[in-house]
Amino acid sequence: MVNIVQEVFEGFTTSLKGMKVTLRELFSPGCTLQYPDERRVMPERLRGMVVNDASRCIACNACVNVCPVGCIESEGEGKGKDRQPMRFTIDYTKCLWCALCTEVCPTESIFMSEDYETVFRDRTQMIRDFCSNPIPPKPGDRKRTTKPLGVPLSGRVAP
Amino acid sequence: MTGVDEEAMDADLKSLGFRVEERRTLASGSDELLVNMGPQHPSTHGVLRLLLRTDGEEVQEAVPSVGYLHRAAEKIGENVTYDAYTPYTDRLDYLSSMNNNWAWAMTVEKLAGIEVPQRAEYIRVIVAELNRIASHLVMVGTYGIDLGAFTPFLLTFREREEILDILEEISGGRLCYGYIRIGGVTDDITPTFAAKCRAFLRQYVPKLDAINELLSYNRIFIRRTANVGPLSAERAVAYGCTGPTLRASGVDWDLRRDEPYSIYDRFDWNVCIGRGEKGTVGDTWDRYMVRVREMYECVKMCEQALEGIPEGPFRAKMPRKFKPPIGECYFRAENPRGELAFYVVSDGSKKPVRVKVRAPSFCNLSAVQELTRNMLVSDLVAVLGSFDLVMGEVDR
Amino acid sequence: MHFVPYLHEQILSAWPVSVVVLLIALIGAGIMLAWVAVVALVAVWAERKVSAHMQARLGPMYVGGFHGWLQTAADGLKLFLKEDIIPAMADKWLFIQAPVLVFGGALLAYAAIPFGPKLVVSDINIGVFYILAVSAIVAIGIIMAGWASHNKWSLYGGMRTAAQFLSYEIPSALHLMPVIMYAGTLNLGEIVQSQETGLFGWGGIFGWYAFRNPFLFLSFICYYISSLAETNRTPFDLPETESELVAGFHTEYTGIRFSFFFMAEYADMFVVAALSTLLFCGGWNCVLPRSVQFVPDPVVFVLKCSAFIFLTMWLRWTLPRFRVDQLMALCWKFLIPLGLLNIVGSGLWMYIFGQVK
Repeated sequence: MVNIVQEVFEGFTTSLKGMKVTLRELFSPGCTLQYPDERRVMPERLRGMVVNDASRCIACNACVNVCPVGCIESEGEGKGKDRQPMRFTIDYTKCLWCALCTEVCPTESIFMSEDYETVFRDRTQMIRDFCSNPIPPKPGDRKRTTKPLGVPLSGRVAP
Repeated sequence: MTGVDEEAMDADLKSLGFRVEERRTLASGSDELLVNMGPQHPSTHGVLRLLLRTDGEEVQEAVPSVGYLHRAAEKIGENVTYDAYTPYTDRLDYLSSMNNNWAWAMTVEKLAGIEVPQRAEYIRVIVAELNRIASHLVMVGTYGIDLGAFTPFLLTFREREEILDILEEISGGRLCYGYIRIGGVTDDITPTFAAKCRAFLRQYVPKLDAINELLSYNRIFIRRTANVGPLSAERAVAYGCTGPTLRASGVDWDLRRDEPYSIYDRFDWNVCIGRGEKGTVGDTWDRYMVRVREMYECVKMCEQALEGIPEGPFRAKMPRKFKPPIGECYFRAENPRGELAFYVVSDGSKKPVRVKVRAPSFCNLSAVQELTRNMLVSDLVAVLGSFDLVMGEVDR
Repeated sequence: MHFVPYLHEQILSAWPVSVVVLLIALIGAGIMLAWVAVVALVAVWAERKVSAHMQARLGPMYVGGFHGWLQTAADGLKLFLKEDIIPAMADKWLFIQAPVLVFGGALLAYAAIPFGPKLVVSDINIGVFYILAVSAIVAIGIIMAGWASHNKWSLYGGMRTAAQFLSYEIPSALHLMPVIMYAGTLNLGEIVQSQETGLFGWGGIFGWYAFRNPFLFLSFICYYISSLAETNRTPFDLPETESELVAGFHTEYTGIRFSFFFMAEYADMFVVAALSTLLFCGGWNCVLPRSVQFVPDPVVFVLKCSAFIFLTMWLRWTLPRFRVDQLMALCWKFLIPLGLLNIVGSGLWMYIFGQVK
């Protein structure tokens, strides 16, 4: 009998303590951002959608070989410094956004853009050929200038 | 009944060990029901299917059926290179991805004899412990929801967002980081990383105290979880349970102290063990509380590690085409859920011959069937939540 | 029924009394239906905002401009436009009637709730008894919903409700007994009037039954807890546990049928808040004595009910829920003996202090 009364009393006191916590939270400001009117400032190293600047690319197939899921395909022509890709496709249905390809690229042509709001309305759009549908060229010369997974050199790139 | 494949349902029941007649005869007369707590259920924490034989509300037997999240991670290990397997390890136990990466990296480093620079070791410890805090926060929040307390979920996830912001700053991802690689880490920490970490850790401990006040010591919560589903120490060891589940049953075993890897022997922290303060040793309250207390210890470790980060390279020099020597290696690490172990067999080429993942949640789940005999459905939900299962690593 | 003779004599003397009664009933039902709609609208919005701010979120912010106050209307419209799905194996007639019973039971109680000294649809002499009886119809509706859905999880929800609801009717009634003993009447209007003067003739807060006598204070708290169990609010929301039973007894309901259940919960919440206010907290008497009260009666009444509704929401977002057997134990082993104790204690107090009427 005493046990039940004691438990109920303890139930009251602990509930009141909990209610104090919730009341305190009630008067604290909320932390929600009203997206899309308010957006978060994204960090520099954000791994956005991976894109390739075909003008810099030398079709060395380093990214093709390192990709864990095999979403990149490329065909090149020419030799040495003049090598250019004829066809370079990334299959976004498979891409993991892991950025392994950006680490091995010798010319930093493939990089993670700042685009994180990718929406595709059609599966056929999800395989993009960067030779026929290129992105604006990345500024700077072809040599690797930054560390692996470094800062993307250009701004937001539209798909 | 229309539209029901009788043969498929019979085969399904048979595969789980029930008699096929139970599906028909239980429907009339007795109070016994065969209830499917299916892969889609708010409190099975992922795609776990439990087939319950209940007598009214009392569960007499709960048979788990797994495999709904199987993605052939072990088979894929035979087809990708060692470094490229890192993103797959991210996705095994997706809530503690840094720890998974670390276990894989250490396995291959042990196999190939690679020495990791000290700076990388410190960074690894910091991010892994931060990820441990994040993972335990998920457990605390979702456990509250399972038992009907909706507010702790939001409070824990708000803290988790802070951690994810910090980890996003150095790795670029928020859930599957792929940051800890073979030989070190992918990239150096940013200049503001240490300051942000310290700021977070400073304001975090009072928030944890608030969550304790709101949930852990609430009498209703204690009544729901104390003395429910006690797992004795010897049963826990027999089932191969590890991690907080094992420690809550009173077994004093933590890989970070008993088989220290990396630089864990330099830090001063305590191992949290369940003592049966509110009920029996090894009940659900213990399993829950061990995780809450571990978060305090993680904060301690992070602060100590932040003090001592040395200068130096952040990754060992690795050859472009990495080929480890012929051999095999087994290495186990202390994940938030238990011991994650990798067993890798190499034949000297750039892809492994065999990758085997020993997932902690898989072994913890095996204890559920014995533990949940003769308890109410509400208790079953409480017990399941306290095991903190992630189906990504149960099914791999 | 005072509207009836007034109307009959002054305006509609040509019509027979029964027609006037019917007219008053229809108008009253219409007004109460509108009031229930307003209550549901505001209560759902308030619940979402209160829960959001307690959880470090913002809640509805968009629909209607100021903090999304029209969000409920938008949600209601969406629910109306949804496809009406009835499971193939469900018991069709029971499935359709269940929300009607649940909503009807909640709505019927509004007939006897006074908003002011004579502002009531039907001023019956057994007000309290009527409200308690009529609220129990909700239980049948919920059990029907659980059974007719042809879903084992809904069945669990329905069976839990059967046990919970019927068990908690008893402490509800028992804890109201001391108030009835003090007031000497079951008429809600008269109960509130008897709270106008209290200890030593002071009015205001000293007249409230909750503070007259320690047994009554205990009754107040226990009645409030029982009423939480009646309306299936956390910590007693087993029938609709989101995490165990998906949505309990109303898992299979969509569209308008679901909105019936939803509105019925908030309508019921207002009814029990109203009962708590009327019987324990002075009804439409505010904190100051009646002579200095300048705020209109219905406003005071609605404000007090809102305070109770806020408390209900606050409790929902703080506490975890009970297990079925713990709920039953609380009812039968604690609340009912305490109710009987309160009746005896209040009676003795009344006898000793000469408050017997």
